[in-house]
Amino acid sequence: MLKVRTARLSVAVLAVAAIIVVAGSVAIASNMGFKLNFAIQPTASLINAIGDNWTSIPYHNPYGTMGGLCSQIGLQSVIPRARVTKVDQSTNAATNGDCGTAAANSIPLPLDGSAVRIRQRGVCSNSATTFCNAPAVGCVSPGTCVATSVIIVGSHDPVLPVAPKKFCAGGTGAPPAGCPALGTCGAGIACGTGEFWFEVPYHTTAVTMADLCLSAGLTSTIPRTRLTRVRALDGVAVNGDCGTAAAAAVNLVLGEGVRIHETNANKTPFVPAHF
Amino acid sequence: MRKAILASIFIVVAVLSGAPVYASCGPPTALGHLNDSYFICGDSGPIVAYAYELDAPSVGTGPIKISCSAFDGVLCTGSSGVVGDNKVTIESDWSNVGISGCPVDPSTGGKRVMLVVQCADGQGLMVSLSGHDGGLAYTIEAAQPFDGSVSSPVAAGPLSTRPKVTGSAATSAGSVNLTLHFENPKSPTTPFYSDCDANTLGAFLGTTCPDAFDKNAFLTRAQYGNVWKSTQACGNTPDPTATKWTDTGVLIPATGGDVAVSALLPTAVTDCLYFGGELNLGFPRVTGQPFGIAGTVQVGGQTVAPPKADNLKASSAAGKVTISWSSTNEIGLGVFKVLAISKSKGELELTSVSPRGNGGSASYSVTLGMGDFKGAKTVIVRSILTDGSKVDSAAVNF
Repeated sequence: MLKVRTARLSVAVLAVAAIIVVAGSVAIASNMGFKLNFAIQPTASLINAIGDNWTSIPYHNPYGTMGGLCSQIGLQSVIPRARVTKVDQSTNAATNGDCGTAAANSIPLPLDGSAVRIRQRGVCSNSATTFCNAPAVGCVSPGTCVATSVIIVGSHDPVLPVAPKKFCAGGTGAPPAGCPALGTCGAGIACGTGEFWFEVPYHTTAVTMADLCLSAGLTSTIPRTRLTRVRALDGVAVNGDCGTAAAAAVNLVLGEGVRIHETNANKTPFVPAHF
Repeated sequence: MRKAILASIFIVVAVLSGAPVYASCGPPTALGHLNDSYFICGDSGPIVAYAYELDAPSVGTGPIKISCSAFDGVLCTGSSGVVGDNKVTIESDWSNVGISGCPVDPSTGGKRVMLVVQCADGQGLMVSLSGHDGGLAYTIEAAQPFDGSVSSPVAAGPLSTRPKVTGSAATSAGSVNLTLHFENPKSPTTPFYSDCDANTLGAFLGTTCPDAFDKNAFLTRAQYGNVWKSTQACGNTPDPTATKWTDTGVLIPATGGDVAVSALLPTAVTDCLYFGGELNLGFPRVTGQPFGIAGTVQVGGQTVAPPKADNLKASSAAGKVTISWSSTNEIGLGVFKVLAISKSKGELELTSVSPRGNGGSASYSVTLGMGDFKGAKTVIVRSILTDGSKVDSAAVNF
């Protein structure tokens, strides 16, 4: 078993290194700086999860605000604008900022190790200046709507602890033990908590969701912690419950954020494992 | 013995929502101003804003706060400026806790919603958004004028669907009796904006009006139903959850008119009685639930509080004096008069201001030249009631 894990670790290291090099000419310097070429999958015409690019940003980054992220990685900042969203796991409230607006410049990026969602139209495969929605809305046949590419830079904070809160749906019913009391989020409403989109370090040691469960000490017995990634290409949510074989079968994707629903209690802060 | 009892009347626009499901959208789905625009809307006091799915009012933002009067960098990051500048933004998300249901179908996308706003000065507006553009979601600017690069704000106006208390209320053996007047909902004066309007961001993109929503045709379907009532805490926006309201059985004439209503007064001093008019917008009724309510009246406790200018403030700058105040009850109010007071000249009437609270609350601001005060440095606002009596505010200096 140990031998297998060692082998997997080596493969993981090589895989991460290979992905980084192939994806974006990354130079891993002594301070572990990153430069990731990340594909932003296009939105669909209708509201759905297609184009929900939950994106990990290095903990140390030059962006500061949503507006800074927009301008520095080249998100669409004129109409139709790209939209950046963050979720505060203390209340599960979402905050949206549209690129190119003054408001986006006033919204700080998360500092708690949580990822952001980027939604942006794509461009047509046969016209790089024509905005479109997936799969080919707005393109002249045979063009299709393709992803745009951004380069994300930054470095890791090796001591930043991450602390997912207990997942509580919130609402008006009597909250389960460990969830905020009624009235916390307004008259007769308990806050939701723990909607935590984990900003996975680019040099994480975790290859699969199961690896992340183990390295972060997430709950692997019933009720298990649930991890979710959203495939921005088709909007499909892929779940892996800690302690299950399914979680071991779901690979993490470089640059993607992963949602953690910790079911038992506020998680003891952990420092994400990395190479 | 009849006795006026309306300690405060607070009229809001709300739509009763259905069962308190409180299952909001899973993924974040923006609802709000996202292109640096705003509403021109009095914001010196409480603002009521509420959104609901047009064909299923039980899906709505419920009692949670979705409007912003001032930038706070946390929940209000848009162009709401500061309190008192008449800039109001909507900043929320359909995934937020407290929202009942989700107006998005996983397979067919967003459904059309209605946003209703009542400003602190009693004026209001309505906005309808299709949610059909996946990139915009429920971006308010989709229904605001757009010149190709900038979205212009839109202004609130008279809110015709608000009920109006037409006479003094009376109590008898712990119950209240009063008359409410409802304007014809088919000829509204309320500003109504839609993402199907010409020259909007929605029209510019051409993506928000697949349903060819006709707001005028929509309004022709409107007719009143019954008056509903609810006992809730005073001074707050009433919780529009349907289960908190009961039907009085009093039918409002379909095209408006006067109705007499009565109900038991709350026993707790902190509770108020709310009345609301049910507005049938042409959709099927959900059994046991009201149609949307286009306005509510908050009736205060057992004590009498005549209409009076509260929170009076006066400040001078650049040869001008700005005077602001608010009211919580305007029952029986004829007019406000702004008076300067000086020891040498006594009272000097400066201007008159017509009440805008429709019997309820409102806020006011007037700016006068320094010379109008003839040297006086003290100001009061006098309420002249319809029976000729007067109620003065506290005096303030500037």
